[in-house]
Amino acid sequence: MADVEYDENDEERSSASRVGAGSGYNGDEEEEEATSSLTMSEVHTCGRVLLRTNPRNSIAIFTAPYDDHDDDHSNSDKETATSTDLYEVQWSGIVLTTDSVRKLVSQSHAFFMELQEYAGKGMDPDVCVKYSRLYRVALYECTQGLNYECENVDLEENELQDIKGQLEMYSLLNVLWHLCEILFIETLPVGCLIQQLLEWVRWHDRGDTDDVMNDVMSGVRPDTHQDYWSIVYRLTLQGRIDDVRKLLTYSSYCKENKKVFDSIDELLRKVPMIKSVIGHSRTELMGLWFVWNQECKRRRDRQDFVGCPQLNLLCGLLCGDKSCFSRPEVIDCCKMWYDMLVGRLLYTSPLILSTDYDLHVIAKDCLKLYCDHKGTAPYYFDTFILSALENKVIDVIKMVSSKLSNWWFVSHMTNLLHHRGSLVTSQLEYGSQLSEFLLIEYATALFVHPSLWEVAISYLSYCPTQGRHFMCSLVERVPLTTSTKALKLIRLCQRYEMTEEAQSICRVLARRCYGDGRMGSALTWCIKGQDATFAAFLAEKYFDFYESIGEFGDLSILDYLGDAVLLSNRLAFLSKYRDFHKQYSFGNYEAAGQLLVSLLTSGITLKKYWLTLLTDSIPLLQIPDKCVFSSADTYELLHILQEIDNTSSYSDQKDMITSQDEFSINKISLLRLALVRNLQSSLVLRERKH
Amino acid sequence: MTGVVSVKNSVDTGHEDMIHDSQMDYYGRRLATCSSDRTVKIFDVSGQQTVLLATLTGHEGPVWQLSWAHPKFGNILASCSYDRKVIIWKETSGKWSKLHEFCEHKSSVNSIQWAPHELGLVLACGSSDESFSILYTTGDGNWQYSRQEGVHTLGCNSVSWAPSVNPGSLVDGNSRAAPSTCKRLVTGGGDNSVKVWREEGDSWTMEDKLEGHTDWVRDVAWAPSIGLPVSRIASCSQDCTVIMWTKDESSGGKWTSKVLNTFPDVVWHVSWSITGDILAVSGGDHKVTLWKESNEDEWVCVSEMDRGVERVS
Repeated sequence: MADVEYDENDEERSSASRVGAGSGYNGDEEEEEATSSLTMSEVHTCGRVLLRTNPRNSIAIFTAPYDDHDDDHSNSDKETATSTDLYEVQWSGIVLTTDSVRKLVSQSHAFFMELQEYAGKGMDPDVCVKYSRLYRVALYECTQGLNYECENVDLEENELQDIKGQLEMYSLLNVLWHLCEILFIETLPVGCLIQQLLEWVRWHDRGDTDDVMNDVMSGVRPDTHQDYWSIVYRLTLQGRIDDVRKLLTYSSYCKENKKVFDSIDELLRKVPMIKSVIGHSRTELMGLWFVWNQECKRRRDRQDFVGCPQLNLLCGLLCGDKSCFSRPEVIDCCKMWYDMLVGRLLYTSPLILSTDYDLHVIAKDCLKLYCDHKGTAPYYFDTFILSALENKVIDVIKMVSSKLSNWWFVSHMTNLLHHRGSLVTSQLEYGSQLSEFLLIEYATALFVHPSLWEVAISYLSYCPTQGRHFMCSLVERVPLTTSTKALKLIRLCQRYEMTEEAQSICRVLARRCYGDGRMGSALTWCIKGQDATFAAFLAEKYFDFYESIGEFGDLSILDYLGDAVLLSNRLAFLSKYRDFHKQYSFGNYEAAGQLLVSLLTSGITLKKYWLTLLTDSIPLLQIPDKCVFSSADTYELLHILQEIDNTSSYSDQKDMITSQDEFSINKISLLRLALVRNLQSSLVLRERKH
Repeated sequence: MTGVVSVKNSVDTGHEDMIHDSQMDYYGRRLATCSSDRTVKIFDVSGQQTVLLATLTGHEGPVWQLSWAHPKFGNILASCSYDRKVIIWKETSGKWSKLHEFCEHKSSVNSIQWAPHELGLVLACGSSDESFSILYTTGDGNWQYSRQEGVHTLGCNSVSWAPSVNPGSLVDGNSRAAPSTCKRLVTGGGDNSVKVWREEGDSWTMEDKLEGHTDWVRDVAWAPSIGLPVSRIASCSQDCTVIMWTKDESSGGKWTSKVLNTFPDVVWHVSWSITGDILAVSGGDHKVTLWKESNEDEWVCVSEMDRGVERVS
């Protein structure tokens, strides 16, 4: 792998956006490797790499050999054949290969929208908490789903690894989310933080402690089980006091030394902060704890438990003795470093607040102890937890953004934090900007997936500054594969008042239908998009078609248009003209005649169509015993005929009369004759009437 | 952070010589490629398989660049070539044919791009004959053009249109009033400069000359608008640098420049994502890098893709 190009030391610059490695959280990565690990097959090596970006968040990479003047390139031993392969490389801010994650996307979308509705009306912290929990439920279901998917025996090895990677990542995100909820979203009364943290540890323990406990207790002599004391310490750290007491009843030492047992049992029974603390003031709680703590220390100093070193250690834990927490057997019993941390907090500073500096200090200390003991460096994930405990909420967001290849967490969490008001600090002006920035990232990542464009647009609609702009540019990129989809898109455009985009989409569809010869559909789209220009164009095309063939083709659409025909003069003309034909076919000759006259005299008809329309009058003029046109009408028609004769093009090119023109000349003469005859009849009729 | 980067597809184009450009249509469903073998090929990439739809012949030399027009004009593709010609192709009922051929340039046409669709069906072409021309149609099959001579000595290598919306009118963030449009483009050439042009009446005037490169400018790309009153242009050069030019339109300011990075070799292409937030850069060092502006106004490299030895699984 080639060297990293940019300045690795420039941490500040890189903090916002270094890439994550591979899909999902890779727990084995210990150092921050800033390169992504995309490699391509060695097609040929003496080529320069060219690229173009594509609408679906991808780039096309194709290669070309060097120009002649780059002969100094030292790859003479490799093939010089050019490659005509092209690689499409896509970047995605969320991997959606599994059903579970897709479900997470749609569920969280629903919650997101509800939350924004509330936000509009003034934010109640309890609402934030509620939605945080809902998101967490969705996350949990996602992990359950992924777990289930792992059991699919038909999976290829690489697919399985991919799912496992995602499972790992989402499980850890669940842990992190929960912690952020406790620290930044919850409004906790005094003393409640520790309870929440205990619950946090227990919940994400994933049943491991219970398994071990059951295993230990299933034997005849539980206290001889190798994990006996380990599980006792672990349960103590988790504040599961009742379980600890139960386990201790199995201890042979305790059975033999009832007084010792009673002593420790009493201490355990009275651990403060485990049960409800609502209603007590901070001072009261402090007092309670102090008294209890002193009693623990007194009994230890009194050497109550020296007979059993493990019991003594247990008491040491209860006393909050730091050295006890550093003991190897205690560290070993913890699955994660924060198990140890929370336990220590319970017994040293149970009334701690999320903003207390001590929290940061103790957290750092625990992490260091843990890592030193295990001989490992902290994982990415541990640094996220640490930052959260240090109350550096923005850092958490940044770190997750840069280290994990997933926008879901940061976008939803930041949005929630923004509404909760947790993003406001003295340095940070861009709380809402950050929220919007991340939502846009998430939305544009979703957009690439063909079925998620609606969800993407929906997210963008909640971004007040730049959202609209992205919506407008992305909405035109949604492939118009079916008319249902197109209609959906148009409705969406209308909902968000993106009129130009709606018109553009209608135009694309109209053009497409026209290209396919589906004039009726094309016209429908024009009307939908209120596209007067293209409607006029189509109307003319229709008419030209009629002129050349003599038939109308599919114009039934015009019957249902109603007022929509007013979109364009040409369209209105076409509609009326069709009416004329209809009337004629029904035998309503007078009505037809009237229509024809009004078409010609109202100015709605293009001059180039006059002759055609007049020609249409011939059958009406030739109806025996009937005078369809009044004398006044006939005069009008004659007048128009004359105009055609005067202004027609062929009269200017007398030396280039074509057979077509001859035909027109004949037509005009014929028409004149017919009209004059009609005039004659109409005058006679009029005379007769009087 | 761009997230997971993966090879989505590989297309064996079947070209008989090297490929110079590939462009996807507006919807990302079709791919057009052009090559030194003088052909343009069009593929359907919307499904699992890539299908060759058409091979367009008509050029007499290597075809350098392609550009798809907005779908509202129909399926229209433009290509330009060493043979001094620009050909505009149109698809009708599944068949591709030449709509128009433009032969007014005196040497190789290096770069073409359709203007933003709000400006109509307008094509910019940059040529080694030191000029660029603008082709436009009056709708009934007639094409007109205007030519701008002497734009870059030693040739105009690249053209790129500005977004049609006048960025100055975006100052009022979310105003529903239709922003005004402007017609501007940027060119890069063999005189090492990047020039911004604005149409005024019937001709084009040079609005700005951006100097900073010390060798031929190979590619210029005007960033799609991101809804803020800022204009950005990326340019890359034979001098191994990529420069980001920015103009804050709200204060009517001047162009400022920043070297994005100095690479170990010539940089050939710069290309923006459609939302204007990511810039892809490729160079002679076999690498492709993606750059993104972090929310602290810094440009950071978010990904590198290397052509290593292992096959991608």
